[in-house]
Amino acid sequence: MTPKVALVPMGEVPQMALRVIAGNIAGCLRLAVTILPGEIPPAAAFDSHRRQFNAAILIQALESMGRDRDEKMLGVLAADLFLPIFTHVYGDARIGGRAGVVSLFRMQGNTGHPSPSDPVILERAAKVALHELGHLFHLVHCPEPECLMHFSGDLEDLDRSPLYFCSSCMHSFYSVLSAF
Amino acid sequence: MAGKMHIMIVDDEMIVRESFFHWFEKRGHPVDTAASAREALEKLEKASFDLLFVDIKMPGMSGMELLETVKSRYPDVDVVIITAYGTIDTAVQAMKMGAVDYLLKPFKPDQLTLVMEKVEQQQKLSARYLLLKNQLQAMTRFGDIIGQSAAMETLFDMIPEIAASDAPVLLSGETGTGKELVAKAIHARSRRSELPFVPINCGAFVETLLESELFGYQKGAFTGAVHARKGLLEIVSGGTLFLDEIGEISPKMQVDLLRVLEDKKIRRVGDSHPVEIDFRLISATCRDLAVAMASGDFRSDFYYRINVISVAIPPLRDRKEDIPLLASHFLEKYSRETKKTVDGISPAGVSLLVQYDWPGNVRELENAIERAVVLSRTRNLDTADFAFLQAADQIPAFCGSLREVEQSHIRRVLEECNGNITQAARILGINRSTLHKKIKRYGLSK
Repeated sequence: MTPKVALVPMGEVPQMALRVIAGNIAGCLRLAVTILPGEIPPAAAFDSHRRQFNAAILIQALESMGRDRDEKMLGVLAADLFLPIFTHVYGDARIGGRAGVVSLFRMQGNTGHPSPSDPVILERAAKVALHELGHLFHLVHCPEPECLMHFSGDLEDLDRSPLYFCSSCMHSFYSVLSAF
Repeated sequence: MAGKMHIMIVDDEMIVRESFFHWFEKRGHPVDTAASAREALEKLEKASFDLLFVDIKMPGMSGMELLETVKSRYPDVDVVIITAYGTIDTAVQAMKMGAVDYLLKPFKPDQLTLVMEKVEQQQKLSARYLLLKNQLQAMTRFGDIIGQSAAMETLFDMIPEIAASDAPVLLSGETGTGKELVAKAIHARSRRSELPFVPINCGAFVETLLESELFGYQKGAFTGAVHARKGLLEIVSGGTLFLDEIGEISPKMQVDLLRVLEDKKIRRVGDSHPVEIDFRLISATCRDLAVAMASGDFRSDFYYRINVISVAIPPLRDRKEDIPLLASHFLEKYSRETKKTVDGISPAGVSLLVQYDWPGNVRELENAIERAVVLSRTRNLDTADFAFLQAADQIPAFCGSLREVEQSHIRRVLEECNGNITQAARILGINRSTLHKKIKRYGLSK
């Protein structure tokens, strides 16, 4: 049985970004994607001092939504994300977990193109979503720079990263899929 | 490092431990966590770790105290200090106490990547330093392998082919034939040439010492194991391991090494945590292992595992045509080293060298040339300069005490050197002050 992916908009999220992420998941990973109605992020996830959402708490909230166990969930936010040790994260997901999160907040960077429909910003969002989904399917960071599972520390790294997995990660991904 | 670093996160805040844990998990590192310094020390007693991330502020024993304890008990373990903004002085203090780096919370994700790259680089350099130190100590006085005989030409042809493969090699040959030089030549032409070449003489260690040398040990694994220590199988890290005198290892060690060759994993003595390893094995022996196997002294499964490629290095007496070339090479080497102008060897001298049987092979020839150069007073070495070879053949068995043998030998060398202490000490392989003491003790001064 092929697992499905549910995209969960958390707060106000541009529809275009959701559609591009969904299209890339379906196109690159051959997985069925559903865009769910929007959810309000839990108040406990918001750190008023840092004015950011705690990615770990958002993931817990998504996992407790009671969806089908064979479904992987990806929360998408326009707001900024953090983990307690980090100033920010573009996204977060546990290895083999059920849910992950992706933030569009820093995708704009210093491109000088603030439009949320800008192709560069949308491509970055799609890359982060596919990368976090890779973790949900047990993929770890890849040492190969020409792989989407290679760690990207900043937007330059992210822009250099391709929109696909290397053959080794792709093989691992399909091995995990076949076990479903 | 060949494998991933084993990391421990020490922080009293669970959310911090979890954040680190998941980040390292994504990078494929084995990660452990501890909520206090005490718990961290307990875990360090039971397993080996490469790197610790330690929060400075913790209830009970502080991160700084833990850092101090770890650096004194486990000097090989690297520590990165985690601290909050505003405590930069403490972080600098931690660096002075041996921390490899520090992180100010919260930090950008790529800062953690940079710290990891720094630690990995540092650990590689430490391993390399250890290795070079060992190699310097073990450095032989031999230059490159030299020869133009058919036997050596065959060997030279084989080396590149053997180097291209990754299969275990067994070198056999009498003592002094240059087995380690051949092993180094294979390593130097292999894909592992940029990585360490680690030689160990198995015959020089008792079983338990060889085990700890090869496998390393955890602190407290045995009396005297005050610190955890990496073994040569870990230090070799992707390079070539040269086990000399493999025929001398015990049956238990044969079983242990066979398991390592099959599993590519080791456990330090006193440690249950397996470490993945990668190396090419070259073994050497002057024994006939087939005979040892037939008599039950050597395990057949281990023999066939280490003897995938077999290379026999001929004794010098079987390639006498190489002696003039070798002699000329060593003459040039020691003339340069001793800053003496010794240009050549007379035809009669060469003839004498070719006729001699060289039971100690190339090593004995090298020693003979060095000795002759040191003592020579002419530009050309002649038969008289090699008289000690004939004398060695003719020395009658001397049944005296060790003291008498030593006294007699020192007297003879002093006579040969006309009382020159520096030259005599060099030949005897002792320093001048030791020689002076022995001269006084044996009443040899004139």
